[in-house]
This record gives sequence, structure tokens and C-alpha cells, in this order.
Amino acid sequence: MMKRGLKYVFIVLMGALLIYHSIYFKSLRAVKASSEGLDMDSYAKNYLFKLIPQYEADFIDINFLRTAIDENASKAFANYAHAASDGDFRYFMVRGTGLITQKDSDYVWSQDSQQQRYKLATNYIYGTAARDAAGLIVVDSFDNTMVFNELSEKINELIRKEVVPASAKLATGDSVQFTGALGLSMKAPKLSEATIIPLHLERLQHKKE
Amino acid sequence: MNYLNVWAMLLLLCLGCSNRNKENEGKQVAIVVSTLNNPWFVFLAESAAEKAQALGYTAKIFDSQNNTALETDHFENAIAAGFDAILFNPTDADGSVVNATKATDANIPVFCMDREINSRTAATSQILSDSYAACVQLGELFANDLERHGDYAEILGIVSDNNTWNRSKGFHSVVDNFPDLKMVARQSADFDRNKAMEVMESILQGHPDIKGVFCGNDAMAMGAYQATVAAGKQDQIKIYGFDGAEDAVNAVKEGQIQATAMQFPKLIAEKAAQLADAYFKGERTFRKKLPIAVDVVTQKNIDQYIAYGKKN
Repeated sequence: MMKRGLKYVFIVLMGALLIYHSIYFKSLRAVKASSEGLDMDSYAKNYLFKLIPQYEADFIDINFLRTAIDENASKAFANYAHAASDGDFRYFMVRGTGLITQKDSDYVWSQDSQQQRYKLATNYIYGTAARDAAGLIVVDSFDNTMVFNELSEKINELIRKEVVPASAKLATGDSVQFTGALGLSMKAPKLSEATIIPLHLERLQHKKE
Repeated sequence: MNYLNVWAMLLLLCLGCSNRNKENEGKQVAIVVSTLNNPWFVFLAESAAEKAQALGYTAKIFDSQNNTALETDHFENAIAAGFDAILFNPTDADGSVVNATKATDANIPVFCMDREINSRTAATSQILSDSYAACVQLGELFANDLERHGDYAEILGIVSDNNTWNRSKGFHSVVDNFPDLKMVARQSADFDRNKAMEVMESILQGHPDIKGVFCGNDAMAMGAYQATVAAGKQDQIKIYGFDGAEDAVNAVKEGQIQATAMQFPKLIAEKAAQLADAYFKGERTFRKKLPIAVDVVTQKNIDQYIAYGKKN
């Protein structure tokens, strides 16, 4: 009787040991951890309205960038560009001033004192330029790239809601100041063809009548 | 006596050197890949194995057959068999975290290839295609090709895979800006060609007038193309894929599908093997996520590309 009892205890212990080593528990909470708690709206607002103005002086003047690319493109990319992914395309955060020379429903064109024209998007705000150009948000801070990409969409949405409406008041001849993100190919950097996503757009002066 | 000492020292030196070489030669690398039923993943796995072998390691490929339970078995076997690193193409962004964690807890480095797991700590590093950014470009192309109006459909990949949603969201971040572009159907075909053909057949029955279909990978794009040919609608419907697989590259060349997005599986696989090599040599600081850019391939630039990569 005693022997049989011991036998059952042994079988139960062996079974428990096998089950313990066959199953690996991990809470979904632990798996999803940090990204779940991320308040995407606040993060995007903080980035666009606090961090970007704080670093504005560090962003490259667009005319200086043009000269830098003309003189030594690879050095210009190494010094001023950022990108989340490893590839040919890189993003620059630029600042500039100019006169509005043309405007349609999708873009405004600003011309600076050196007669260079730059195209600012005022309708189709998409892509990752606004997120990546400053190099202030890095993918390694996120549990997964979906959250990282969702943040890009939140930033673009804020730009559409809070930044782009300023362009509605602009008229040809107005002088403007802007901070914006643009992307260039390292193999063929054509600044004049780039579209600038505005992160800050401000009318400095009405056109002179 | 002096000669004997010199010979003894030389012998010890040689033994030391040969032991150091053997230390690397003896390393084994497991390549656990989500499926070998898709040529893209076969190429990824074989490229990883070739690079690991070229670096002096033994490599063995394990096929998870898109089954997380089978993937768990592979990890357990790899850990028990004493593999020194795992180059990993996961089956499930959440479900595969536990497998990578097991290996990491056993001090075996894990380097994810192409597909992501939802953790920063479970894997040593994750080398991923930047699907989102590429699909922003595909979305722009799609909107322009369809002249910003008309009905279209979307065929999704495996819904538990992050690539599926990064691709879909990148695409929609653009096309949703155009109110006259209307998505009338959206179904998953699990990245599978045959399923995509069936899904497309059913979409065409309900929505015979669609002008375009965006597919989450090339296998599904080719399945969708077969269905449009069977329905005689190949001239009406523009098809877009993603991967840069051989048949899709040929189909872009022939004008059968409009575009694909070229991922670089060889680059991803080789990078993973190189990181494992660096780990064996003592490196411990790695970027947790390393996105690799993806190129959009159309008839305009098809001459620059071959299957799975760029021409040299």
C-alpha cells in the first residue's frame, strides 16, 4: 500500500516536472510593455511644438545646404542628413525665408534672395520626412516599427491641422519664414526638385501694395 | 637544451593559434525561417547560410512552415543541440517573442531577418525592410496611375505580421488623401499565391469595375494577376506587389503588373550573419532595430534590377 502511494507521488511529481519544462509563460503585458503606454498625440505634439522650436537654430539654412551639396555632397549628407533606414534616401531639416511667388491648392513656392525657388507642400503631407529629418526620434526607442510609423502619421496629421492652415492666408508677394523637412537621394541630390514638408510656417510681411 | 625550449614555445604558439581558429570553426549557426514554401524566404535562408559558411561557421536551416509551435520546437532543438547563434525570420510578431526570449535567456544571440518581433529585448538585433516608407512611394505611384479616382481593392498578408500592417498603413497614408479613390474590398490571402487568386476571383465577382489592386507581397500580386487574366480584365486592373521576387520582376518587365518594391534579402541575410560573426568576436553593442530601405521598381527603372536585388 505504502509502495503504491510512493509510486503515485513519484508519477505526479514527474508529470508536474514535465509540464513545468514544457510550458513557457510570459504575460502579454510584458511582451507589449512600453509602446502600449505611449501617448502618441502628446508625443507628436511635444516633438512638433516643443522639441523642433528648441532645436531650430541647429537646423541648416536651405541656401547653406544648397552650397554644401554643390561643393561636397557626401560631406553635406554626412553632416546634416538623417534617416531611419539604411539606404540611398536621407532627410534634412532646413530653415529658410523667401517671397511667395506662386500658390495652388497643393503647394506654395518660396523664392529667396538668391532667386532660388523651393516648393512647400500644403495639402499632401505624408511620408516619414517630418519624423526623421531632425534625427531626434530613433527607431530603437520603440518596441515595434508599427508604433514608430504610427508616430509619423500623427506628426503629419498635426502638420495638416496646425501648420498647413497658415498657408491659406499666404498670398503671392508675401514674405515667409519656414522650418521644413525634405528628402534627397544621395546618388542624385536635386534640391530644386525636393518637396519641403513644413513644420513651421509663418508670414513675416504682407506683399507691398 | 635552448633549442628544445625554442621548439616547445613554437609548438605551444602553433597550438594556441590553431585552437583560436577552431574556436570559430566549431561555431554553429541555426537559421530558423518562417516558411520555405515561398521562394523569397528560400533565397533569404540560403543567403544567410552561405554567408555564415563563408565566415567559417556551420549553418543549418529550419523551416517553421508558418507555424509558431513548430518554430518553438526548432528553437528548443537549436538550444539543446548547442547552436551558438540563431538567424531568425519569425512567423508571428507577438507569438515569436517567446522563442527569441528563450534563446536569449540561454545566452544564444538572435538576429531577426526581415520580419519583426514586438520586443526590443528578446532579440540581439533586428534587420528589417522599411516596408512603410516603400509603401508610401507605392501609394503615390498607385494614386497617380489611377489618376486619383476609381474603385480599388487591397489584398493583405498574414494579419499577425507587422510587415502586413506597415505595408498597408504606408499605402493608405497616401491614398486615403484622395476621396475619389475608394477601397471597395480588402481581404487577407496570407501572403499566399493560390489564396490570393481565390480572393481576387471573389473580389472580381462583387466588384467587376475595380481599377487597381494593392497586394502585400509579390506572390499575392501574381495570384491576383492570374485571376484578372482568367476574368479577361488584365488591361483594366493595375496590380502592385511587394518583395522583388523573380516572377514579379519579370511581370513588371512584361507590363503584367505595374510595380513591386525591391527588398534586399541577400543584404539582410548577410548583415545578420555578419552581426553573428561580430558577436562571436566579442561585440555586444548592436542597434536593436536596423531598417533597410526598399526600392520601388517600375518599368521605368526595371533595367537596374534583377530578382531579389540590384544589378551590379
